[in-house]
Amino acid sequence: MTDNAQPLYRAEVDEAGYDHDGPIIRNIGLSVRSGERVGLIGPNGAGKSTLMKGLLGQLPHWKARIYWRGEEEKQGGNSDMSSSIAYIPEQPILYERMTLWEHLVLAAASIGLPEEQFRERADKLLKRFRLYGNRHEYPIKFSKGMQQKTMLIVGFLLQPDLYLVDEPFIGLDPGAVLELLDALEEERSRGAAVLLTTHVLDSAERLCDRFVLVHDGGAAAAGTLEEIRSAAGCGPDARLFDCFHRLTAQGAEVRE
Amino acid sequence: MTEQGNDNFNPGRYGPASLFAERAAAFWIAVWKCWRTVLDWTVLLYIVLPGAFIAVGMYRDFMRDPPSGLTTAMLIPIFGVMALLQLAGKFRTFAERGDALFLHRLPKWKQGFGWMGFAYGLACRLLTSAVAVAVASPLLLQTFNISETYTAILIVFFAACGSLWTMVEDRVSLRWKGWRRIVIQLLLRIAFAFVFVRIAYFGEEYALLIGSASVAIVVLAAALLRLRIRKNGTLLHEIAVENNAYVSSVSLILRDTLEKKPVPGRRRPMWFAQSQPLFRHRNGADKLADSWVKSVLRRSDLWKHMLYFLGAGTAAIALTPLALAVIVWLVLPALLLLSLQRQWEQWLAEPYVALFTWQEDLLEQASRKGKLAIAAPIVAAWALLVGVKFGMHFGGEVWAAVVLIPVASYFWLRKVNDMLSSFSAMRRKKE
Repeated sequence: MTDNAQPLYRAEVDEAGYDHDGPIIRNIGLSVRSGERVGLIGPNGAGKSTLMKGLLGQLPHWKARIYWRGEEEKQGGNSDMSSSIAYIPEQPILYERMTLWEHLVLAAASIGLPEEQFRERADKLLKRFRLYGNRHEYPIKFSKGMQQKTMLIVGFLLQPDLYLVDEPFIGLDPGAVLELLDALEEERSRGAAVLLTTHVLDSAERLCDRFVLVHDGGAAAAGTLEEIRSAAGCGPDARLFDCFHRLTAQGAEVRE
Repeated sequence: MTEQGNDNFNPGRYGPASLFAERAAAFWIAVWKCWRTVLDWTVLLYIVLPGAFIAVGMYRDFMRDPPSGLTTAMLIPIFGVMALLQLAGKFRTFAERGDALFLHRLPKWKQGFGWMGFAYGLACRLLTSAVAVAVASPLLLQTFNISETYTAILIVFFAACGSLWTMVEDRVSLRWKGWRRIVIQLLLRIAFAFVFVRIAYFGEEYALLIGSASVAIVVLAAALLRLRIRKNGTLLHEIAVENNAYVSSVSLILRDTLEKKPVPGRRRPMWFAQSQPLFRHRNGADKLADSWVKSVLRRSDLWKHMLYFLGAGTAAIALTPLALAVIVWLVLPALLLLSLQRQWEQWLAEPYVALFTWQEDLLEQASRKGKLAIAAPIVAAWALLVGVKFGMHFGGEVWAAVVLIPVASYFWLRKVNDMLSSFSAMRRKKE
């Protein structure tokens, strides 16, 4: 059982980027507790997706310390962290010659999910995201939104401790967005943590407990909505959108 | 240099014909560049040139001294090969995705690409028919005493039939999908080959009639082209044809690094249409192995590779003396398994599969099971052939080898598979 005061996952990033010459990310710290949802927000090109890639170990230049359940993760060490994280990418990642059902079978095999549980979870998720009738089709032939739903189903099937979700709302119809929000709520009640990047600030405001505003490769502000309001100098009724605009505009003025 | 000097783009010089020619040239240059990566001077000097010398020598000997007793019935397989040659190839327009923006929507460009594709196909077929007939001409002219006029008419007839087939095949591909398309194409291919060979075989007496008929066939193909040009919504099909043409031209050498993978044409798979498992799913390794084997069976470029392996191994066993055939039979499973191991590792590197964390022992079990499932039928076929060779050589009770060798072969395959899988797992752990 995880102590709720202690973050499930914590990252202290000194530098990160695609090469040593020009790191895109500098001095960002973020943490997420069990049952908590943290939104990584920021304008285009701020470095959100780059940071997400770094957290997944996909960046060639990555100077950071990662803590999982309070213990520092050593590179190449044997821990259960990687098998306790599910990544839902912005661009669907699919295999051309497997049906939707077979994508799920493969995902289930990776965590050794027993057959009965797999079928129960898979059927429920396929019905929830209205892809049950398409389960024996190739997802590569689906529309963008259906492919995005496929990735969500794969992620939720695994029921990990932590979800890393990159721009989950892009391409989804309003019904699917509602289902996604409900599914995330269910996962929160199970104790799963969520770290998500998004541009859709209305949904982020409704969904997330805390935010990290990434701007120009650094953290411009971090905390709850109240703390973000205070950092932005906004009133108590200000929307996240207004705080975001003010904080990023301040950054732009400083640069000029 | 001025900025204007740098910008030498002149939209006026582009028309359907010139753009088609540029694209066709770019396609063949790209294919040639791929092949040049393996055809360096050492390969040319030690493999291609000696191979060409041997082939030309064998051809020369065959033509100088053809086997006795060649009857005109031998013309049937010769014309059969010509028919197969005409059945290859598709109607090509060198379409690109960007054409959807406006080129494909403008009638002038659509017609231009269509007619250029037709002319390109006809020219290619005239060339290949001429080469094929030229290669066979010593036999056709001297052994079978076919007249020179009829030989020349045959070239035109073959190319005309090829052009008609291209348009028919394109129409069938657009009209039907899946099993229906396969069955209809197969029936049409058989009918085409039958009519083609029959006309070529019996046609010398009506040479002029066949010459005129060839022109009529080209006109018929052109009429089909006109219908094709009027058809809407064909761009995706044309892009798929181009994609497949590129893949089939370079897949032999670039199969490990091919970026343009063949994309399924249908929403549902033809094999295992209900996602039914191939193996019983007792554990994660079964599921992983099952996913891989089904992926191989659904990708024609991968199973064709296995078929080539089967063909080459069968030829190696069939053409060698018994003692050598046994050695070949013992070595072939290791080569096959090494090839499968490479395919397995490539599959594990597929972005979707690599999304997940896999336990080493699960990977090893799945690899063993999957490779055994794919290799077993191929190795069994080789073993059966060795058994038949034993039976034919010794006769009598030794015919029992037809049963015993395949059984022994299975255990030998398992042993080799275990050894190679353990070695691969060890290598992965070290990495």
